[in-house]
Amino acid sequence: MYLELKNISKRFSDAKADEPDTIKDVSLGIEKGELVALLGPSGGGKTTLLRMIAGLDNPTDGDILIEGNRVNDLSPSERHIGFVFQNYALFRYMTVFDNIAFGLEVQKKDKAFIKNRVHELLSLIEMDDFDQRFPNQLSGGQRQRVAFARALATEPSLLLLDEPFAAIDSKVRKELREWLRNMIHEVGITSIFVTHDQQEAVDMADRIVIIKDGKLEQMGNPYEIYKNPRTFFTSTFMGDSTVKESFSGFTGFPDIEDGSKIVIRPEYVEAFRDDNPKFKNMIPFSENGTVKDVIFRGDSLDLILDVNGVELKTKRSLERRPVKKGDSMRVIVYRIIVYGNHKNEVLKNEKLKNVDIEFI
Amino acid sequence: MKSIRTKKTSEKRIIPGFSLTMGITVCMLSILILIPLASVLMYSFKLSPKAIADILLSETVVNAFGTSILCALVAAIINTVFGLILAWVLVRYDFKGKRIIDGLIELPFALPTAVAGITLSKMYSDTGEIGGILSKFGISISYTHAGIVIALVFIGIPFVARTVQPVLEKMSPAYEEAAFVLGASPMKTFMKVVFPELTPALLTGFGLAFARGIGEYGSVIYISGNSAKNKTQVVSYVIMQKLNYLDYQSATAIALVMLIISFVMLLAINGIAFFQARHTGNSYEIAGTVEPKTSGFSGGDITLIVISVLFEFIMLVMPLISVFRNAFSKGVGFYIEAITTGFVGSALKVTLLATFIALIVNSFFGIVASWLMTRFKFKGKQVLGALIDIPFSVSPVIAGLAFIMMFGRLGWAFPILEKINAALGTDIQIVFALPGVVLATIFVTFPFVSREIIPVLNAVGSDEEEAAAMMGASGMTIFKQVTFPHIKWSLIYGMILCGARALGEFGAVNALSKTRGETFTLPLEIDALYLSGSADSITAAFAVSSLLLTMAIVVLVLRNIFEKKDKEA
Repeated sequence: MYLELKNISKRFSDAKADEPDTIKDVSLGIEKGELVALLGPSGGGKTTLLRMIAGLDNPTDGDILIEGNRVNDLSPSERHIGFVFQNYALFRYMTVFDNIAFGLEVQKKDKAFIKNRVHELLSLIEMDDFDQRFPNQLSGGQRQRVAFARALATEPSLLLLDEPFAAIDSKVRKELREWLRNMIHEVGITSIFVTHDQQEAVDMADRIVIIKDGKLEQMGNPYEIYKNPRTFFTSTFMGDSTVKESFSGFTGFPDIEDGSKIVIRPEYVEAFRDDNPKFKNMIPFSENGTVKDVIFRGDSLDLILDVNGVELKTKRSLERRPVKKGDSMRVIVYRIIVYGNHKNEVLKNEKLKNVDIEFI
Repeated sequence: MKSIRTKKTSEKRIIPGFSLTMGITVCMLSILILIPLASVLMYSFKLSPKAIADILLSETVVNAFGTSILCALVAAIINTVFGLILAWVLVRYDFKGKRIIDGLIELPFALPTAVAGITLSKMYSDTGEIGGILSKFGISISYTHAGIVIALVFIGIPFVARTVQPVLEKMSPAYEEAAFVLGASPMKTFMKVVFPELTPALLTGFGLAFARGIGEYGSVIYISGNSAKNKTQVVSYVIMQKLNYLDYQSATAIALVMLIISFVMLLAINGIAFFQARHTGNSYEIAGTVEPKTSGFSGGDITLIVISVLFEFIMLVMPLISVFRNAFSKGVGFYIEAITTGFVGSALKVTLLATFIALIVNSFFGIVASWLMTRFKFKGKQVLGALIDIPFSVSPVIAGLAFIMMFGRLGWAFPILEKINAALGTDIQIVFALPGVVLATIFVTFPFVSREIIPVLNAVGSDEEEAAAMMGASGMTIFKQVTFPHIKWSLIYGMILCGARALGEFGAVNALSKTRGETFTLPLEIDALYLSGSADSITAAFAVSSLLLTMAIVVLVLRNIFEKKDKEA
């Protein structure tokens, strides 16, 4: 374990009596070289957790260990941490060069070394000619890169990023995600970033930590979290989900009407016409459904179907035959997530176990 | 094929009222400020360059400029240091009594300069509360340059503190945290990261304090002693002296230089904002506020708090107490007698009348001008803004001179006035009469209301007005229903400050009012009592001062209440 959090709790001194703790008993470990996402809704305590790892806030309870040593009482620079702030907090009255050089100057490195190192970083972020610019002369993406370089200048062993894409236009965000992920892997630095965007977490992270209301909901690699959400929150937070209060009359599934919540994602549902040869051998296990609505989503269609009085949603490729409201279709449900007794259970369609098909 | 070129059209204005507000703003500004000031210029152009040079190079004038500039510079530097400390303490720490420290900062704005002048003069004289102690060590303050500096520090306290405070409040903690994460010490963080962020505000505050200091009259003339031999005459005093000797040529020539200095200062202050835009433009600003420290103060924190408290105690609280002590030094009976003389009654009437008219005129102007300045884009907006602020940086004595140069016997408007009087069979006089007093009061308080409303309207933005305009609301409806609720408290706050300043106006009125018991205002009455020199009349001067001081304290309390309401809203 490179970084370990042991039973971390945080209660701010100005919290009201009836307010719950900002962070409650969080324990987790991060391996060297991992890129980890702290994911969760706004106000859930992700940033507080990150700030405590950095040393900008102190936990009320619990220990923070880096390579086995307790660092609770060390300042951020003594922890060898690089931090990229939400809006980058570039010093407005310093040039790009001076911003990146700041940490090295504080360490009283000699001028030649600083110059070298800064130019090395400038070429790493592909901004060689920008050294004399001021932060407000840069685009959002460029500011992010400068903040990244500034955080890396002192060669920290842990990089923390607070919502690194919050200040970036959604159009260039995807491109920058890729850039940042590649850069972090290239430098090989253990990194933790905070985000409330699940797509961002899935796209970038080796592992995702889901935080809600100051508690750790689930930790694992994106695939695992997506496929096997352990809590109701994770199952609804990850992916596009519909939640049902009851579910009955579906072949291959028991009737569920005990008050459990049923989560069904669009990709769990397949809809096809009864003359579709591809699904010929599955027709016996399928239900009869009616198209209630067709919504154009740009790259695909959303079909809203009524099956046995249950409303289901599925995606449909634009390459397939057109459907319209009122059409009758065959519908198969591959799996559902049932949340009862405070835990999730994934139920697969019993009838399909012997049929050779692929789904996610 | 001919290419179709769209004709460049002027910016589309959705919100109504551009021509109307522009017309009113320019008219009022011209009549009340620009034309009177231009009269000074016009008169000065009649003088030959040699005559001007002779006047300006005379020993008294050169010394006066030296004294004014030097003392204003020293005072502005002192105010920059203490203003920064005060602002820092008020933003970064929370402690008992902080609101009092905060509220007191405006005292010099609310307190009439003449009251400040006589009080400081008495306190720092060899028999006064502080001067008495210092005289034992052979240090005299009153009637020396040090005295002038103290008076200028007093009147300049709010400038730096109040320009730095909002900047510090809005400064995101992320900058300091970023420096902290990179391992910088608190000192290094302050010098390299915080200080550059504050520099524009510090320079602006310094410039305002310096400009005010150069032209200051009321608070200085008592403590300075006005001795030509000791070079303790300030420029405003020399202008006033020339006016009293009816030497309008000299007065105008000196005023011309002062106007140039004021204008250069205004340009410099605007230049700061321009320079700042290089770093803060392109909307690269990080929102966020630092939570003030409520406990766990370090030695450095406590030192700063103690410095602030001591500074305010010596500079603000002691003069305040001193006024009341002096006022009641001959008993309550004497006090009541002193404040109920016929002269005081007449002065109170004149003061209240001038204040009332100034309040109405300037509030109307303030609302119209802020609508114009915040809701429309137009060419020359910066210049118009600077022109509106002129009364801030022009010596009040010059304001008085301006009206003399316009309506007085030598003024270009005098013949017109004569003709009107002849035609109507009236005998309306402006200079040395009530209208002059009123005009001078309007002049010096001209920008007070607009200055409070403009930042509020800028912060609110014009989305709501645009939405209302698109739904077809008339300008009046938009103002009443949408704009007014936003500016209500800042309007009242601006009116309070405007009123306070109008009640206490001294320099400009002094130049335009000569008849005690008729056109004298309260500050002039105080001046007359104080200068008559007998112990009784000096005590009476303080008794009348205590009236104005009480009003100033009421103003400060109201200001606090309205500011709080404004923040809640």
